[in-house]
Amino acid sequence: MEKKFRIIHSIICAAIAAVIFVVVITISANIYLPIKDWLKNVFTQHWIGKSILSAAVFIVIGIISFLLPIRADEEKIGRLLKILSWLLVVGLLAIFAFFIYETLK
Amino acid sequence: MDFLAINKTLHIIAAIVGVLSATAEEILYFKDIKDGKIDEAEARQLRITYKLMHWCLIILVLTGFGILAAVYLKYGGTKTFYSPVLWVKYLVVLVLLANAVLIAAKKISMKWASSISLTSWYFAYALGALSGKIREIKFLVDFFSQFNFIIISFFLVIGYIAAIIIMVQILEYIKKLMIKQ
Amino acid sequence: MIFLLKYFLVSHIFFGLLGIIFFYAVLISGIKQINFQKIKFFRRSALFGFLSFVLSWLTGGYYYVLYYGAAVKPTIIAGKYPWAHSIFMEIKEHIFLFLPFAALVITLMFYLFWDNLNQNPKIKNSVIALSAIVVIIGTIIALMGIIISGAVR
Repeated sequence: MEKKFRIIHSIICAAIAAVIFVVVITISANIYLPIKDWLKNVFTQHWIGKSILSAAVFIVIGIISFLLPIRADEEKIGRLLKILSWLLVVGLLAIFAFFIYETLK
Repeated sequence: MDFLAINKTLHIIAAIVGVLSATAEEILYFKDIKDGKIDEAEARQLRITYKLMHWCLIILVLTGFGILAAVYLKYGGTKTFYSPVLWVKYLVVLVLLANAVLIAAKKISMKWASSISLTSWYFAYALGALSGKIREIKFLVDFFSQFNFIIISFFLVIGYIAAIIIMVQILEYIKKLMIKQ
Repeated sequence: MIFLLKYFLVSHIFFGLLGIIFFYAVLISGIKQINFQKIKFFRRSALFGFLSFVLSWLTGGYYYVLYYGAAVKPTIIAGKYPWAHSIFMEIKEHIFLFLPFAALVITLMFYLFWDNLNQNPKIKNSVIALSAIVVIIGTIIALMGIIISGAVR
């Protein structure tokens, strides 16, 4: 039971990290072009780079949070699910607002 | 039969079956509610029409996008993609899907849910059927081309809302008649 | 456009829509009382939804990298509706990256947390809310795809 809780806990933490990473890399790569150039040089295309790196962030954070001695319970899992839901909404609005602003400026 | 023709055919069949299922659902509901309650056998009948509507909606969504994909592959982006009729149709489908969520969550009265469901099916069907006919009549094409996307969409949405309100009154009247009997 | 690219474009659309449909099924069924006998339905719907999003990711990515950037994007930027790329495509290609991770969380909740879901309404509601957000984001992405395709003239 404890192991199941910790797996779920680490997967949700990993998803939260991946969502935050996608928003940060999207906005920063468009503002600070050397990041976009670096992604293009290493991964041949910036979007491939963002896809691979977000998957990598998911896996790495997932493993780290599973290995950390964190006690996972129902209450924590419930809280993390709420945080993930809110982050998806905020991330969606942030990316929307950013690209509309970039186009209109 | 090419990819476009297959999608169009399935789309039309699903639209017809969907509209008939939605109508059958209402007729069965009124027949069942005559005694003031719906028993297990009656509920089972209603579940069949409900499932049929669900499957028709899934086919409609998939083939609807299939038609657009086929048009895109054949002709590139065309005026169809930015047609107000198409976008109002999407709005109607989204309302239908949201209505189903509200029904499941018991956050909407059956009076409004039935009207929205039935009106949405007929309105979307009418939009699809009529827009094709209108494109064949030159003076109608010339007339509507005077108006932009926003104006046409606005009037279509007003028409949709009015149709829902009218449908509520009609269904309530029919329900009163059935219960009196 | 060569046949393989056409195939990948249609597959991208089809799998994306399937993903939305599967999670919509999870949403509708989950809003009602979760039924222990429906465990297979929830697990399979969520799993197929997740796999559909992954396949949409791969096929869409293939089409985007090999064809869209070189052949479609310049047409849109030079045409009447350049905002179709600069706003809608840019948003679409980035918010899509949220979906596989959110979908995986929902799937694993049904596989590993099933016993707790019915006993804990708060967590059940959070999973259903997450499914709703996945459906909404997926729908927005699908509609943006139409706007982008319509600008290729």
